[in-house]
Amino acid sequence: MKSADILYAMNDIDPHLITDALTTTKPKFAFRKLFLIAACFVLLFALLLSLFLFMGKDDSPLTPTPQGKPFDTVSLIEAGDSLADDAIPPYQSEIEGGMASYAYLTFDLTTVIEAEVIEVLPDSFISLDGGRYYKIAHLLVIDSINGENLPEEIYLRYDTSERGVQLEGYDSFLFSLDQVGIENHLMFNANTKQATYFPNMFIGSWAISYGSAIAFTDGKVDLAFFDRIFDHKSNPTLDEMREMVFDNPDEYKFPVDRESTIEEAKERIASFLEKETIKRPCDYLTAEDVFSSDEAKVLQSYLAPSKGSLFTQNLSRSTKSATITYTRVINGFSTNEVITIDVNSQTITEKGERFTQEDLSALPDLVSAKKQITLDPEHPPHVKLTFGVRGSVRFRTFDYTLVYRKINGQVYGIIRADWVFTYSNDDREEPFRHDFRDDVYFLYNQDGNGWLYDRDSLQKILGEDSIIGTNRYFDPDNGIWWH
Amino acid sequence: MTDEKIVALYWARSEDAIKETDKAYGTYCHYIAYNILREKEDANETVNDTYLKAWQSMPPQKPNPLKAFLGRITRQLSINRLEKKTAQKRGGEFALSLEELQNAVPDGSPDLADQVALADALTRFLHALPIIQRRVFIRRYWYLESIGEIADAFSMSESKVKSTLMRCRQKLKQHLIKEGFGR
Repeated sequence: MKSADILYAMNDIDPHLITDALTTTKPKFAFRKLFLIAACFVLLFALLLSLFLFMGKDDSPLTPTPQGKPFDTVSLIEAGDSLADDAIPPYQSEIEGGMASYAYLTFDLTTVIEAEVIEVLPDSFISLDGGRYYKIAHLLVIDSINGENLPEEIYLRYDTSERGVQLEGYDSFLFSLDQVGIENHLMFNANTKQATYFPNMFIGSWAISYGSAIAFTDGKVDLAFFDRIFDHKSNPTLDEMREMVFDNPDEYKFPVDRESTIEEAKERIASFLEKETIKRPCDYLTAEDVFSSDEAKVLQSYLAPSKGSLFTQNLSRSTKSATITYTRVINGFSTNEVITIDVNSQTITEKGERFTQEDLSALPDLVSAKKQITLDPEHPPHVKLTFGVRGSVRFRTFDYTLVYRKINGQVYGIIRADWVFTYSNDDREEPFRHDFRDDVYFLYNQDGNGWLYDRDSLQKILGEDSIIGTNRYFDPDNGIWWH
Repeated sequence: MTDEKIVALYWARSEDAIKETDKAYGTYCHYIAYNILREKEDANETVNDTYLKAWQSMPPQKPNPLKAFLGRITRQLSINRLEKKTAQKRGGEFALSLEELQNAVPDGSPDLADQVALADALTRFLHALPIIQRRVFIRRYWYLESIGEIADAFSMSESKVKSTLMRCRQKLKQHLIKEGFGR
């Protein structure tokens, strides 16, 4: 071993240690301690005074109190495998222009296959963990160029925002892919609103429109595939970049020039692989690999889909490790039941409590609950709107996030409501616009009773939770604007 | 913007991912790269490479915390870049750190260390250290900060930093021996 080995191995230490090390501790003096104690007393007094003032005060209906304010009740529903309307995220904007500062065409040496397109499924699908809309292509694997044990047929999902990607009408493709799902990979059909499962799922290692797919017709590269994509990106810089790649494919590690045959492309990939020092994950991961221990096999049956038992999947792979994370979703709404399996060590980590069949048979109906909520755009609970002082504030929209949680054996439905405003100030040297938000939380229990909560009071019930906002509230008086 | 949202931008293949990463962690990555490379242009290029690597890694990865993920990439790319330079040009805190850590290498350790096992052993060692010693050690051998910079950050004298590091290296050597990396 050399000292360099230690220095290099330091790179892979626990990441939390890396961020923690940036914390500095200054010397503590006695008077500073006394000051802190005094400050605590003042804070405690202020809190007690606030509590006293709150008691008996009749707040407006949407002003949360520290104890939670009783709100409307809702009916109870059963968990099913359909997607509630409110679970569907708003349609995302399309990719514009691409990565102007990088090469337009990139082909990574991950799982590399030659494949034919059996079918592009007619419907769109939603992945609720990322809230994106996808098209899904069913592929027949003709040749596995990098990666072993691939099934004969696989599924490829690509973002619907990649407009211009047309996978039908070509003889075959070379794909550079990453596996993102094993058996029972859950996607919601956006047209039928039903859960759909796929035996495997892949994505382009780079965006499909940026080079992860290369089309061939009559054994030769078909540039019409790229031209069709490029019609939607009228950017001359990218056009120049694309030409640079085709002029020097070896330099840019791209498998084809303008005239390459599929055999030449494969040879070029083989030569790139020979020079590759770091091998990225490329072999196919099966359910048997993931659930190999006895404990994991028991878990596999728990995770199997049934009415009311749906889990999204997230497979994360690096050169050294592979983990797969399952998150329970109920009618499309995420929960805090998260189960992670480390494939190599077979270590299972569970966060949040398991939902039982009993829990799933009587859940607060969040869709109905949301319909009962009325918010006033001009009176957000925390943000003081100041018009015309340092710029102007304009209300844009309300955002709602609906989730289920199970804490200490109790199931809750939670709706987070966000006011979204735009602040603009044209008097500054560089005029700018900035979006900012305010929020309140509606919590419903399994009796259907609802309460209105503020962040801090909700945190006392849920603990640290991603549903609770962490952004600072906007304060235009002091010129503070924060995400 | 939160880490979660930045990662979501990468997954959505949105060019805003790079902009937001630079906004949130550009200074941090520059800091790491400059500590190792000590040349502004090299550091700038390495940080750009970091963003490209992040773009290539997400998806499939969903790093948490994102900061440490970017820091790791920057550090590795910076060290790789330094390695490519000639031995004469090699210098700065990287070379000094290498020299110092030689004292922590156990006798009779294998020529080629198993990097994964070594990283695990280092993590266990660092968790066992008192908090200030641990932070000082990571500042020196992860962030490759100079003794003076660490002394300023922790309001310590330089000699105190040096003696803290020396004790840590001695403990590390004992720890590595205990973990079977030599005698």
